[in-house]
Amino acid sequence: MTFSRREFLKNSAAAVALSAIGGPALAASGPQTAEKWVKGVCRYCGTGCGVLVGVKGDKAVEVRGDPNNHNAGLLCLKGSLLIPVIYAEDRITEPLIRRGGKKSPLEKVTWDEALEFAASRFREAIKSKGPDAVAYYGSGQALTEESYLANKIWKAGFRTNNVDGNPRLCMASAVAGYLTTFGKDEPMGTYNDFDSATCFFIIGSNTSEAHPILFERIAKRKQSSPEVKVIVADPRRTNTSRIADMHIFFKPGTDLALLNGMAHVILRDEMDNNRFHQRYVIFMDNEGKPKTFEEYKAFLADYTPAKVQEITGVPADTVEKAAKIFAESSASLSLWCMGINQRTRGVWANNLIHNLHLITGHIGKKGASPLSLTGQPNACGGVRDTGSLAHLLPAGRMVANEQHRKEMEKFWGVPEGTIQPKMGHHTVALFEAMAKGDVQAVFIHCTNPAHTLPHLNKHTKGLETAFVAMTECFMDAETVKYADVVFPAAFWCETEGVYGCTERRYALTEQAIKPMGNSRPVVQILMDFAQKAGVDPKLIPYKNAADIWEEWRTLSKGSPYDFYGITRERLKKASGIKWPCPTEDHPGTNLRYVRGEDPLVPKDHPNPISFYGRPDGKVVVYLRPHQPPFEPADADYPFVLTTGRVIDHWHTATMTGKVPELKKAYPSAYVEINPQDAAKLNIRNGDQVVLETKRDKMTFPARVTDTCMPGLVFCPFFDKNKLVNRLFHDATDAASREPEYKICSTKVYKQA
Amino acid sequence: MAIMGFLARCATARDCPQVEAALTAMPGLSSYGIHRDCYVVAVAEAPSTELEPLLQQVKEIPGVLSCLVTSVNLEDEQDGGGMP
Ligand code: SF4
Repeated sequence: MTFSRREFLKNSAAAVALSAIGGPALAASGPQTAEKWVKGVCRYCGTGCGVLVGVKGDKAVEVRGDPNNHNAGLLCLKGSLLIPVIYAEDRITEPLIRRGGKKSPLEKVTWDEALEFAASRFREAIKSKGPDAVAYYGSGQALTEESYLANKIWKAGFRTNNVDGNPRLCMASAVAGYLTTFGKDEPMGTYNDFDSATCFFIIGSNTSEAHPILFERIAKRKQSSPEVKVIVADPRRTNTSRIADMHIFFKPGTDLALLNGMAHVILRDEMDNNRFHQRYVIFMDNEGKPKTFEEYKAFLADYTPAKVQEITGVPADTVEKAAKIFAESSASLSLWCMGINQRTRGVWANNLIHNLHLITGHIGKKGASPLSLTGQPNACGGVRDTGSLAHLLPAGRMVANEQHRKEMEKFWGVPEGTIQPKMGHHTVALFEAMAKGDVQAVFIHCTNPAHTLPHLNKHTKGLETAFVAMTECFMDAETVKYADVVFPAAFWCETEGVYGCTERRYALTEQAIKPMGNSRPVVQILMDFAQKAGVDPKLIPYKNAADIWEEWRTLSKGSPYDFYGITRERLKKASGIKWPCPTEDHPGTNLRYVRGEDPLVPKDHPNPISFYGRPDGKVVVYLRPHQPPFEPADADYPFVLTTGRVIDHWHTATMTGKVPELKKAYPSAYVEINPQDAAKLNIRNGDQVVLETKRDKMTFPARVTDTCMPGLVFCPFFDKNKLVNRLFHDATDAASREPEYKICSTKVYKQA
Repeated sequence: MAIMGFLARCATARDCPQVEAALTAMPGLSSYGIHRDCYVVAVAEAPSTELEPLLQQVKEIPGVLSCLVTSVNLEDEQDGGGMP
């Protein structure tokens, strides 16, 4: 019997599927449908699934889930359809410039001309207004080596801290939450906790659409262990609630009251873990003044279930039940995402989730952890850990801390005083400074701010005013319209570099195929640009990304982020390693801060847990009161508008929009409206509905569905033809400076 | 034609045979067996533009909890569709 090639591929596909559920193990050594298999990480969400890219000739032809990574060979449809994105027709493959200003057309030029064109404008800006006249705006999708390098070039080379990026828009509140509670960023748990948790408390996260493979792991856990309870708290009843034992609809912007209400019930009914919080916890108010446990209890007296019902709309007995399930489960795991972070009190909301774990002791053991889900594939490893934001320096150091600046100056070999002591512009302030002419030239890498910034009508002025150099792979990215120079960047598996996902896992994507056309790896673009712009070549002595990794891993040595043991060679063999990992023989860490698990806790430490992020070894429970959102609904603008993702699109759809099957599932944006509201407004499915806010008005087709609670409407943000962010304000969290995308007030009416 | 390997996860073991039957009745879909952990191991052969609606249809089969993709091969489409 002879097999056709097609039969062979079908059998191989079945064998790969079987291996993902514990059939005969397969990896790159499985059925050889391709000539070579190259290991990598999915280009999309913060789940960070491992993939294997199959190459035939000089083309990528297949994507498989990596059976050795945390996703155990499974992928969502987006991840498995990455290949058509590589070969999209509108890939940018040549350097482009606009010679005659923003209105002139983009022209194809040589690399040398494009680099000199950009570099000369940066030199001029610095000469006329000083180092703070230039900026870098990066991305949680950039490779770690790219972010580390850009951070060094701008902070030590150009001598400006104007280094920020889109992680400011998505997880800055989670960073500040971890920093204020634990003293250091990044979670203590990992995805392994999903397999031991008996209570999942999911708040402000549509896990099923934004992190589909993690959702599957939760669903599987629940299916196999009937004692597992899932609580979902969200003003939208999304697909995530499909597996929930309890869905808590709370009024948008009342999460702080709900979380304090749960803490109230836990303490009132003595469901707290007294031994744990006596040993490890201190209490503080908003001014950082120490408080006692009794004062904390007195503070929570204002959050009785009845009072919480008044504020949040959540029935009092639901608050009681949720608190009881959370406290009494053997291991509670909290998961949250943009619903908590993208708020003007996002940091406080993060603190209050941590509070629940710290008063109950649901932390530092398998299945029990507060675990913030990251939106992008490398916001954690690439931006947070390398300190590529306006207030940070690498490995947990802060710009404002003199000692930290000195350490970095010494390591980078630059004179003391090179790194400026003042924080640079955070994202919203940066685009304001560009509009005012204070920042005259910006380098944008791997992100699409003309689509994603809040209050777009205001902030695109910054892009119209400043000189914009950018790396980009796709011509239809909205920001290209504002670019003065476009550097064609190698895409995903056309280059190599590290991604660090939600669970402190660093994993290498290796180069599978050559960069398309004349595009180049971004580390090379950054180095060539910096040299031409006048940065001392001694600062950038690298041949390739591996050299940069070597420097970064050495810098982490001895720090609370120690991953010195994660060498490039190990990354080539392993499907990711979780830090801390100080030595080459260390397997990586699942339970951070735990004696016997975390190599940074001495084996003979007197306590089973050592919260070494703070000098006193304690963690902080904060007394954070309820505060309303910046722009709640009112008589004139009676609805709340919120935004988010859909399962088949990634961010601004410059990638997923290239895949016909994904585009077909969600061709354009729409507005979800509750049937009760729709009936009052005489709106039916498909009607054109106007959303009018204090910034702008736009029209969307209606989807009448009970996903949103009454009074709330939702629009996804992927559609470049309907830039919903034009409707949002740009108020930010006072500490994290993350904008409040999740709530603005709006009028809703049927188009005449 | 794209070739996609996937797993249809069934709510209970009892659901698996009927899910498998419904699945194989759909054009372009083949089953490669039922796994003891309530999965039907399946392969779809369809133009890549049809993969998403096809998965949607599988998800709507009574007893299916979810569909998980494990591989997508586009060799045929990359080569211009001439594969034997
Ligand atoms: S869940 Fe996220 S990381 Fe995993 S395959 Fe899907 S998009 Fe990629």
